Amino acid sequence: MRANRALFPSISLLGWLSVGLLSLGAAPLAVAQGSDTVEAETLVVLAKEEPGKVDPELAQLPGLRRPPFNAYRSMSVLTRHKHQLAVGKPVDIELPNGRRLRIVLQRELPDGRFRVQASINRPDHKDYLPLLTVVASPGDPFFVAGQAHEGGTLVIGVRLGAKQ
Amino acid sequence: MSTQALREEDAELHRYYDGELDLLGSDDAEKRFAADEEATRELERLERLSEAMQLAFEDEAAELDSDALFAAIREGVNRVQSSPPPALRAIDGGALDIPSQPPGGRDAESARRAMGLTFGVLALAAAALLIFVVAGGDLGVARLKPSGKQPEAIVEVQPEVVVDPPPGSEVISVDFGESTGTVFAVEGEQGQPLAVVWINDEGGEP
Repeated sequence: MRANRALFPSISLLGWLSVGLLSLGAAPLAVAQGSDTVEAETLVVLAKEEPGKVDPELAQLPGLRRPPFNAYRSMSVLTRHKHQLAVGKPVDIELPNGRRLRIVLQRELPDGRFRVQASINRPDHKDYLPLLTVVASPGDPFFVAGQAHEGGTLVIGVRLGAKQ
Repeated sequence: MSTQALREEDAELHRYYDGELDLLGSDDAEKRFAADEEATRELERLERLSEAMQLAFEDEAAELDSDALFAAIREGVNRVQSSPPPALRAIDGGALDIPSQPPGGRDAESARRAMGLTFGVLALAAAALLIFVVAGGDLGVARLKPSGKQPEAIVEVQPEVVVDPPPGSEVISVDFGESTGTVFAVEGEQGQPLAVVWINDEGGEP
């Protein structure tokens, strides 16, 4: 059952994260027009099935009550990183489980979207496996999830640039 | 018993005889037919008919010389393969003879020339009229006066077309390596698809 739940994560949680990432507006992310860098934000959330608190940053999200993906009843933002991504230059983000997430901005597409490669190193290994390549519109995040940590599941959201 | 029921029972009997019923259906039908005199007679009739047809086929097959039949077939195939292909025939394509005179003869040619001349004159007249109108009615000789300044080049400014990028995020490629996982999308706040890569983390924490 747990394995099945792992395969069917809380879509509502991810919906929350998406809105959370989109609404976190302390400092709107900006794209340096005409340059090869873009500001990015990475959010690392710990989601647990046990009833508990939901981080206020993620609380105002409509997916909270959306069945059947409400298995995760507690969510806490563990870390939030803001960084400048330059084309071809990797940025490493320490994860709470001791691994590192590496993000590389491959290029900005003519339509304004960003082509990004993300990878996570294996435990006790320095090398990174190219995990995924994503194309994302400015301000729209993508998620990497599923790693176990402290009895819960890590959900990592990455957002580049800002919506126009 | 109604006509419909009779037809269905008859069909079931034939299916039973042909072995088309499943095991349970066949057992059930066998018991019912065994207790039914009419069904039993029908089954015996079908059996006799089947035997008669079998005998007829066997008699016919016994008279057939299969070796001779195959030999005839082989001979026919060889004959077709050995015979040369038919020679190609030249077919008259029916080339058109260009007539020395256009259709209609000399009179038609004259009429066409006259029509062409008429159109030409009309075109010249229209051009002359246009010039007259443009010149404001003055048919005098136009003199070019140097304006002293370069003619302006009119450049049509094309409106800038802004194309919004497709909303959301999508996975182009993924490699789970030794792990397994799945890729799906969730709906964002504005209904845009947001990519999710879910890794079934077998390794756990270091």
